[in-house]
Amino acid sequence: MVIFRRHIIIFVACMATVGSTVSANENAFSDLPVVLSDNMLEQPPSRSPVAISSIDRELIQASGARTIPDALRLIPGIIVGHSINDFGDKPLLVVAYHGHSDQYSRQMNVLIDGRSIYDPLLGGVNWYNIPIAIDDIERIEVTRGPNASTYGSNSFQAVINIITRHASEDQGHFAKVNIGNHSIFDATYRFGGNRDELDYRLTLATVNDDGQDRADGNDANDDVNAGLFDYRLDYQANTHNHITYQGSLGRTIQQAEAGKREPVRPERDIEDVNAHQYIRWDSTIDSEQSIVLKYFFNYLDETDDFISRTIDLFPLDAFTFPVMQSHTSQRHNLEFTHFLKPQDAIELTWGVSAQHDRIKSDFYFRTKGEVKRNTYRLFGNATTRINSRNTIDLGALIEKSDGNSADISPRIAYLHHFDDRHTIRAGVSRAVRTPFLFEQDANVAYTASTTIDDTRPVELFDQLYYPLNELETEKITTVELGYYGKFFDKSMLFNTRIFQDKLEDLIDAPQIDDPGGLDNVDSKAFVFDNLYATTVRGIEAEMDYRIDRSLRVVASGAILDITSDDPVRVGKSREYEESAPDHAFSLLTMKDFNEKYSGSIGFYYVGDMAWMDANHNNTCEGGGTPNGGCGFRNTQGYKKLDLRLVRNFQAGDERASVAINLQNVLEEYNDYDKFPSSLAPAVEQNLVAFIQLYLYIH
Amino acid sequence: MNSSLVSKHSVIAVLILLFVLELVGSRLGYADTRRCVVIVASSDSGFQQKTALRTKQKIDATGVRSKIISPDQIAIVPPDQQTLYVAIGEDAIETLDLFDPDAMVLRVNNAEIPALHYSSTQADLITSQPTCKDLQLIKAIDPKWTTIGVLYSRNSAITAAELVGCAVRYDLNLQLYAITDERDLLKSLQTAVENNHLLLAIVDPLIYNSRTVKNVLLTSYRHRKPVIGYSESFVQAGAIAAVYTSPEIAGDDAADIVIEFFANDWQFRRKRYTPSGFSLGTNRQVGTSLDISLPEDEAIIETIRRLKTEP
Repeated sequence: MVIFRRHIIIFVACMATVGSTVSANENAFSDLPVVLSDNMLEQPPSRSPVAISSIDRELIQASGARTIPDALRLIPGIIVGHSINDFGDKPLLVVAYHGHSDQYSRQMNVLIDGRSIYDPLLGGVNWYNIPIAIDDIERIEVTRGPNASTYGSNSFQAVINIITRHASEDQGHFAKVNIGNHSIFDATYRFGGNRDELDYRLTLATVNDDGQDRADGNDANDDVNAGLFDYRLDYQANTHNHITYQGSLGRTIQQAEAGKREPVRPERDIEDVNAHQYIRWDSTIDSEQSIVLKYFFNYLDETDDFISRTIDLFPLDAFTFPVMQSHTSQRHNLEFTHFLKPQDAIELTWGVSAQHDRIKSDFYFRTKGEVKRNTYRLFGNATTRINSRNTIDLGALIEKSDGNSADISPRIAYLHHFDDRHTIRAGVSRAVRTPFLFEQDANVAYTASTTIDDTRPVELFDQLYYPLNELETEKITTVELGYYGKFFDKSMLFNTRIFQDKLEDLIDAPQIDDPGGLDNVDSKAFVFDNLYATTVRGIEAEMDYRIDRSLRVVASGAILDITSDDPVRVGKSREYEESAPDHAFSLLTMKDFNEKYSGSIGFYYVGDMAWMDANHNNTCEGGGTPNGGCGFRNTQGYKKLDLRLVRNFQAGDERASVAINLQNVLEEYNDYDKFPSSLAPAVEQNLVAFIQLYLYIH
Repeated sequence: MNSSLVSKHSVIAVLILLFVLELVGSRLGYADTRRCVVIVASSDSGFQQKTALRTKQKIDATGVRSKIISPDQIAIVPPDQQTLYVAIGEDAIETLDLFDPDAMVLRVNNAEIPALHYSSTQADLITSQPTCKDLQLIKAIDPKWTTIGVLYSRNSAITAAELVGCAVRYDLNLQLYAITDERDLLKSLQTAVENNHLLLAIVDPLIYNSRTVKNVLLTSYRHRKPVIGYSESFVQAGAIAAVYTSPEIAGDDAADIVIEFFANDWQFRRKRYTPSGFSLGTNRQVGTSLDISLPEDEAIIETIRRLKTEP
């Protein structure tokens, strides 16, 4: 059946008589640029050798996420926490996969368009600080499991790859404002344009809120004020060559609480200035080959200098001392990748990269002041289609860093496609995590001068961290069996995996007698060493069901069991075992009621757990009760319910939307309790309500 | 010596010599100097150059002289009453028409160019595939694709109208979106890909050119909808499939028409010629990324041929 046939024919006939003012011949003969190239195409989960979850723009918007970690709650096995605590640390949004994480979440690699953004000093990512507006994201791909041969080392337990939109996709003006309680004020303005073969996008954004509240109802000192400017240019040089250039400049100011369980740190503001430059050249050689050459530079300047709180320790006279925790870090990375398809059934990728990290900090590296590290990588992947139903995928990474021997991270996976709807996958992969520069070289001490009875001078030296050991890489070996299926005429996608991860040589910093021999305060220091091993077993599942054009349901769940056998450090073993919830799941339902109204409901459940840097009361060896201390998981299980209602408006080419978001509707909870008080957590997540206004002008 | 005997022998010798020369000359491919084919092709289009080369190769094999020139060389080449032009592309066609409206010419182009001369010594080879073939391709790839979005402007209005008729024949639901200005493109494109199984691209430089094609393909890809293109380069850019006339088919057809022209006493049998075959291009990587099971190329071609013959 053809719609509007008669009217269209009449209309078309009239238009045809006007005549053509432009050659109708031009495009059939002209070459066109290669737009969807190998490395831009999304690999469908059914053909991936590893478990991949994808969060698209629709899900990001429907979840009401103001930050990327909010959206990541939809991934099975991922937990999110707000790490404000009583130790005066900078508040952080923490994302961890399968536990094993303190507030710096070192076991996961995070990339933006293939550029790694983890902090070379402490590891982890400051999610308030990343140089991208959430509205510029096309999708987020999460590899659940190690994938070093694709993303490099430190792609340990998981990889989060944030993919931004091509500049040509965002033409015209876009503005968004969030206003709500907790002093929420976010604003984004984006302009996209083009000139000949150049498409460009400029974004200005700010994110502000006053963070969490204390259990007593007062505001906790964890305000965030962040602003950024970022841009992307996409230039089609000719039909086979495309250049992408991105850059950003951002500034974040975060409040940090005064240390309540340590005497030094006052309440203060910590400022981060970050910038990056990224240039990438994609060249399609022919239909079987393409290359990518990319270079990026990341820069971070953190200012955190303060005068300590007044310390009053008999018989010493009360004193203060300066603490200069500021540091700068730089990363340069150059990478070349070659994609080729020598035969129909074989796809190959290989590449090399070189990375230079440099950190300047007199505080973190007391004797050196500056540390550098060069890392070289050689990687490759081969996918062989044995026949239409069976595929083998091989991958490997060889990496060599200064001060470490070369490590090899191999991967093999076998996929069997029963048909175009059902696939099973079996795989084994191994990855390593190179110790971060802080773990490798940290030499941190407080020094102070005071007197006794105002007469006798005393010089104090408190060694906090000491670099004693040559650290080895952490290692993970994963065995998994996965299934991917499409049901109900491919409107429902379902995938699940069962797996076992064996983690070895895990790095921790126990407090030992000060090896440097200079400490005259407590004679102890934290020293990093490869100490622990764990086994993680579990099952994860995801479902994405488009029931009809207006209704979509996305669900995920994970069941985990972590075991760690260390006959000497039983307490630490328990810390690992409790570092992830036994059960967690999420459910997001999105509905378009009509052209004007749409809405979503998100429900999340996370079971009891305890982050690695929480106080687990290590004196309890092998005993204890759930409520009395030992075996007590500090972060109690919680349920989160988010609601969102949207009203759309359209006037000609302009579109606008107004959305009301209510988050944490069900209950108040704490998702990162580092040191529990006897009765209640220090801070809590409570109701968040904000209005979003969107405006699109083309 | 008897003079009549010498003359008779001389005549026989000359005749034998001429016969031998004719025999040897034809075996050596001795060119027919009376016939000359000048192939005019723009230098900046790979398709035109390949078509021109293919045409020349096939014509040369018959012993007819031919050469390839660019449009700006038309005025330099001395006009010859025995010269047949093969003008490939609009630039070549219009330049030749300005230079010599009465020249003997086979115009090779994707569409007819109005307001040109037509005579028995002028004809068109329209290289674009019949409109229905795109819909046959769509049905051959996936019979479940029943709703098709098509963007069109005044440049492609006729093609859009033809598609309507084809859609009825194949029981397909065609949604047409008129573009009057490039600024309309994005909004109409988004509507087209949101509300249909796929987007069918038709030749229209206002809508599909080297700059806008990025937006078209990325927007469609973002909505997880395939694009059916109209040329090999469109498939390489990211369309999932296309039926088109390859330079080889266009070149062979042009040469065959030229040979027939000379055999038909220097007259074209028809004013308008269409391609004798088609080529299929598929982009399986895009198909894989969109989770679309593309049948094998041979199966698609077979289905298209079957659909063409079905009532």
